[in-house]
Amino acid sequence: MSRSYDYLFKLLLIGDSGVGKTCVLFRFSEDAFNATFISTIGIDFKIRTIEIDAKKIKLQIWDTAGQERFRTITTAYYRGAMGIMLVYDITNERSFQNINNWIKNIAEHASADVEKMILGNKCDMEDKRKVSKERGENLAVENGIKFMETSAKQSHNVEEAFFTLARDIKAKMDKKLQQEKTPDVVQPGKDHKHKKSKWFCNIL
Amino acid sequence: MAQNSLSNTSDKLPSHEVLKDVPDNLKELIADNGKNLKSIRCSTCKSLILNKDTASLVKRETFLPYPQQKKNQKAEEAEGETVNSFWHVQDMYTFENVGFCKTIGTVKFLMCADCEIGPVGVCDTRGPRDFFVSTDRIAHEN
Ligand SMILES: Nc1nc2c(ncn2[C@@H]2O[C@H](COP(=O)(O)OP(=O)(O)OP(=O)(O)O)[C@@H](O)[C@H]2O)c(=O)[nH]1
Ligand SMILES: [Mg+2]
Repeated sequence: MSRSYDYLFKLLLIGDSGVGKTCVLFRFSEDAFNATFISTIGIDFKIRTIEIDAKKIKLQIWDTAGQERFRTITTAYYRGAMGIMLVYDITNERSFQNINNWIKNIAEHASADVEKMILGNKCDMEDKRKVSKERGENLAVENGIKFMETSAKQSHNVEEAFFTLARDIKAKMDKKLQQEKTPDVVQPGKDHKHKKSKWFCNIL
Repeated sequence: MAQNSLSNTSDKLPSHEVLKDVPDNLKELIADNGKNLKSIRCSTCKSLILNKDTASLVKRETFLPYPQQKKNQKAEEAEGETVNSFWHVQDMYTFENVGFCKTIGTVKFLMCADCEIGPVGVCDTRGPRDFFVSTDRIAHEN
């Protein structure tokens, strides 16, 4: 059977508890009287298909378990991840401070060329803001990665953020493939685009 | 009738086979090659789940919880129904958009990636990589 897509990217959301990771990935469900089966069990991951430069890209996006801290997240967790959203809450100074710890953790445990992006979430709560947009931007510049403020509540910039991250991964990958095509470079044995789905083995 | 069979799953992986006695309401949705003639979408928000010509019609006796449950109902005790006809795909990346629940017992239920209504289908974590979308819980439209 022929493949119906051009790229497959596994993405993770990481950050302190309460910053809104789950809400960035999933819808608010605030119905106090009804319970849905899905909200009772919780969601593991989603597959989304997007198009960039006429190429079809499958995104497999994972939330992270709420109580996890950077101390406990290790290599197994990051396996196969090609992009990571680092999320903090603009109304929570500590969650912003901890972004540096998350970046260190990623450097220690994730693949060296994983693409990162910082999200300052809850930007709808201007009256409770503790972290200025400028500080977010500066932190991103220091680390050479992109930055956006988002509101999961108002769906502001969320889709844009995933598009941006996917676009950057694609650009990096295209560059790599280009280099592999030059004849004097040895072809690596692994072809990422044809990797079999093996998510059952590395469930968190 | 409402029933519950999430808590008493058997040790055996449920089997599936080509659906032979295709019900009338599905006859016009199936191509000569056994695949879906129309796209498969969320019946609530119309989010695209599977493109046409990607899934095969199969028979598989499966318990699916109802989307709406009583408040404070434990997931293992969810009420639901047994359904039989599914669209079957063998590679999860065949899906255009879909969400996967956390595992209960040995199964992961599938949901709409946009409005998160579900379960619209199921896969069993023990088995080969087979993914099933219930013909009753989705819309067939391009
Ligand atoms: N105002 C506002 N509230 C938000 C936003 N995103 C999330 N929240 C709220 O913040 C709280 C925590 O959100 P979660 O998505 O559960 O946070 P999390 O990062 O997944 O937390 P853990 O699972 O514990 O790691 C919830 O009460 C959300 O309703 C947002 O953009 N704006
Ligand atoms: Mg969460």
